[in-house]
Amino acid sequence: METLNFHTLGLAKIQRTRLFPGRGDILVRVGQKVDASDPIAEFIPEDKFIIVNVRKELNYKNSEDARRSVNVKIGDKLKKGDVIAQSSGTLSRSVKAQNDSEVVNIIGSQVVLRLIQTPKAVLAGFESIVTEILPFHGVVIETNGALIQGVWGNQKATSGPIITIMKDMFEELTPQKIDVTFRGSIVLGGYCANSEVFKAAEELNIKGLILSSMSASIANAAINCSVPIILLEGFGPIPLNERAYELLTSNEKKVVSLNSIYDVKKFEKPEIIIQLPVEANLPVDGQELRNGCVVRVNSGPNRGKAAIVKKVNPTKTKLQNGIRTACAVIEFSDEDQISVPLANLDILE
Amino acid sequence: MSELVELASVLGIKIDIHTTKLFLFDVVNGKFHLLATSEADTTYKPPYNDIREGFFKAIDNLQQISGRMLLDDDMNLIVPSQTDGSGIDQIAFTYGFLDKISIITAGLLEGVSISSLSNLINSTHLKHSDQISLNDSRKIDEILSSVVNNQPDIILLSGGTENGANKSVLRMMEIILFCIKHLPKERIPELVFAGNSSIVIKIQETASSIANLSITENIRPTLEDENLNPALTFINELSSQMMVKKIPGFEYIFSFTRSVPLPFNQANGIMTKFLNKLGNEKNGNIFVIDMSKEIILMAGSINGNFQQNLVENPLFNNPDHFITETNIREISKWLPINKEKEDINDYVWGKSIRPNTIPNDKDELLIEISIIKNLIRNNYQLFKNKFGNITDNWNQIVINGDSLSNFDNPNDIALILLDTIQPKGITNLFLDQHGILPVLGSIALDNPILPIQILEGSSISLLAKVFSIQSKAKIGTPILKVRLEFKDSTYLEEEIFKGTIVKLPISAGQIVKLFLEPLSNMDMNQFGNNIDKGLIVQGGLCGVIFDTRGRPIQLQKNSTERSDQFQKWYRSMDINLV
Repeated sequence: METLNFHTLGLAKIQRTRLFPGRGDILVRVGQKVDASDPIAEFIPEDKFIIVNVRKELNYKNSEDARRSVNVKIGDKLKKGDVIAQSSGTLSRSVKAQNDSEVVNIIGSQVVLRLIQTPKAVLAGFESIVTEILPFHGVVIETNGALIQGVWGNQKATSGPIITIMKDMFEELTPQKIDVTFRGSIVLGGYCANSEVFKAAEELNIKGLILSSMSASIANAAINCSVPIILLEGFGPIPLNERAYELLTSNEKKVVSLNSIYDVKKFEKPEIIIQLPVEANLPVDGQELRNGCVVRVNSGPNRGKAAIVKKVNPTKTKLQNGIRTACAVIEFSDEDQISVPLANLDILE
Repeated sequence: MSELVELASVLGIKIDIHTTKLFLFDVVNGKFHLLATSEADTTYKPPYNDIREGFFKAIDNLQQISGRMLLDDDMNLIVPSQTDGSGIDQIAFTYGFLDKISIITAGLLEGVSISSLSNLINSTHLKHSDQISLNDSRKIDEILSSVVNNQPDIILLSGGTENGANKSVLRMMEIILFCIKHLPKERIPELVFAGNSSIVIKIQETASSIANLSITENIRPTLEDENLNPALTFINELSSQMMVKKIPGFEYIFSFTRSVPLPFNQANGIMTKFLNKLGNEKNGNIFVIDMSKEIILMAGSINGNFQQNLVENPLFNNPDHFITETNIREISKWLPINKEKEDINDYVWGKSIRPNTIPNDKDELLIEISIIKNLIRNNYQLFKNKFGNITDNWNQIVINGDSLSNFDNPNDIALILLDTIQPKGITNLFLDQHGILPVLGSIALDNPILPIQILEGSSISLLAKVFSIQSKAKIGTPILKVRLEFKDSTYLEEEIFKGTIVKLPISAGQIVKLFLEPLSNMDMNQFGNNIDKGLIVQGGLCGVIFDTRGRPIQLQKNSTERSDQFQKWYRSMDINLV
């Protein structure tokens, strides 16, 4: 069973490839510094074509005459209303472009136009340097710093100074705790069960919310919230794990990048990055569970607690609910040891 | 027998994006047996990006379990087996990787070539991106946009019965070529023609300079006949070559196989049809559910007519889709315990981000089972909507699934099937514990004896023989008297009441004679002919079950009453709720 890896590292080299589907343009150059919310490329996810049949439109009897009336050539960019073809004579008629478009082909007397659409942006997601351009596909960006990966996000990105309003790892974030002094900051809160928090964050121009957990009943409100939101633990009342809590609180007021844009199908995770001016190594991905691993319990009464793996049992254990599964013995910071299914552990390194 | 010796040891390989499973078979005492299985995570994802890593891990496990060397020093499979006992004689490979290759089909008429194209694509693992037809309501602009945006790997054109329509087919080819001309050179798809063979030369003249054209037999040679196999074999070969480019490491495994690797659904299809033929019941209907982490496959053979529906398993692959498809009210309704909606919602959303988590306690297990039921029910409905005229009269239901493999109590799985599929009549429920069916299907191509002999063994276990009784009697009234006659001449009589589940104490493998006597006005024909002479039945892991809850099962509206209803049913099935 593959164990999910969620990096929670004080220092690492962070390298990410931002790819785009469809046709697109890259907006940056190698060596350029970018912010989390900077667009680094723009793309058209789906092309739309229009075929103009000049012969039919201008009522020509043969294709040759129709072809001669075409005023455009392949590659021409047309504005709405530009003439595509015009018949000769005193009662001359014309065919005009119905939209801004580009001429991509002329076959006989048919003109193939591709509509010019507003492109979508690919955001950098964190403060970084462009290290490689992948022509027509994307960009590689890189930085060094602390890296904390989350489990869920509302597909937005931002950066700003972090402010902690949690006194401990168990504290709930309520609307009353959102203060006007947090304007322009990224707020680290605990568990959130009230969607009014999101409204308050929007009204007070808070740049982002880092939550340990959230009630699933407000997940749709979080998706629709304009403020970037990241969850570090999961759904339901789960305290923040000590490792992430210490890492984030020790960086109080520093500028962090919050990137909650991710795609599970591309094996991406939402993440928080705190840039540091120190060269570091790439973290090891796809680690397997072994003795000594720092893990987090992701399910059951000990959810959110960090621990160290003491022993991985090679054979399946029967749980009280009747399920047979592979388990590991883990030890919490208070030296308490329990046996937990491997599937219910995340590697935090 | 010579074939048995030639292909004595067989390695079955089953790989999807999540799991790599290996099955080692060999001849013991003149019969094929499953000697060992092994499993590892598939290493298709980063940081490995190559399926060989997971394959080698699974092989390493298998070598340790079986004590047989399968790899040489150069990490190549030893083929054939050697005198020192190492190696393997036959390797069969079946794979998932759903939707990695996209196809656009084009045909002429609904009910003729379009239907045959749909039937053909239904048997593949290809992503069916679009279908273009003669009566397409879209403008050519929209068809062009679709082809350019989908960038298919394959375009398949059919149409025209033999010596039938030709102009329309050529017109359709012109449309396809027009669209292809607007694709980037590196994205020109493979073009396959499987239509009217009398115009093949014209098709070649028109298309060969624009795309790589292949010709295969007409899939609809006459209005009445369908001929899918040649085209299917060709598409398989073509898509296997494409998989080599798309899935790093695929070529390595492919290179050891004798036949072209088969996608899961085709391999499963071979076995579903085969099991249908094996069924004792005349015109037996068989239904197969494969719920792996990657796919949910439902395949049914109804009176010899085979249908299947294949979708991605949203729980493990598409969290957004999983959340949209999951009806919390439905999950709550089928939950045998009272649980706050908030808790169920948190659990469901939690599953969407960590689908592999194991339930910690009984309550979580019951929510988990309710989620599985919801997935099966949704997909069974999809299957029924797609194929219509499904009567739920299944003689055999076979299920396998990664989500079910951890369940220790087979009664849980039997009840999942009864609550979701709600079969009618007499049904044998089977559990394919290892998900072996597609592997047997892929082996059958070169070695048809092995699947038969393995099915005689215990790889697929009988969960229960179920009598689902339809009666108009009121809940709680006795509707049937059952008399069981054991081999030692002892007997047991039991009254069956409307609205209950009764599990008769017949142990796995035990054979008894069973007589049914109606106690109320009920149609005994629902159990087939000659029921009055008694039935010889075999007990499964869950014995023999009488389900008199009616179809569809009516749940109490009031939550307390519903809870009581569940308590009784679960107790009857020997499932503890605490």
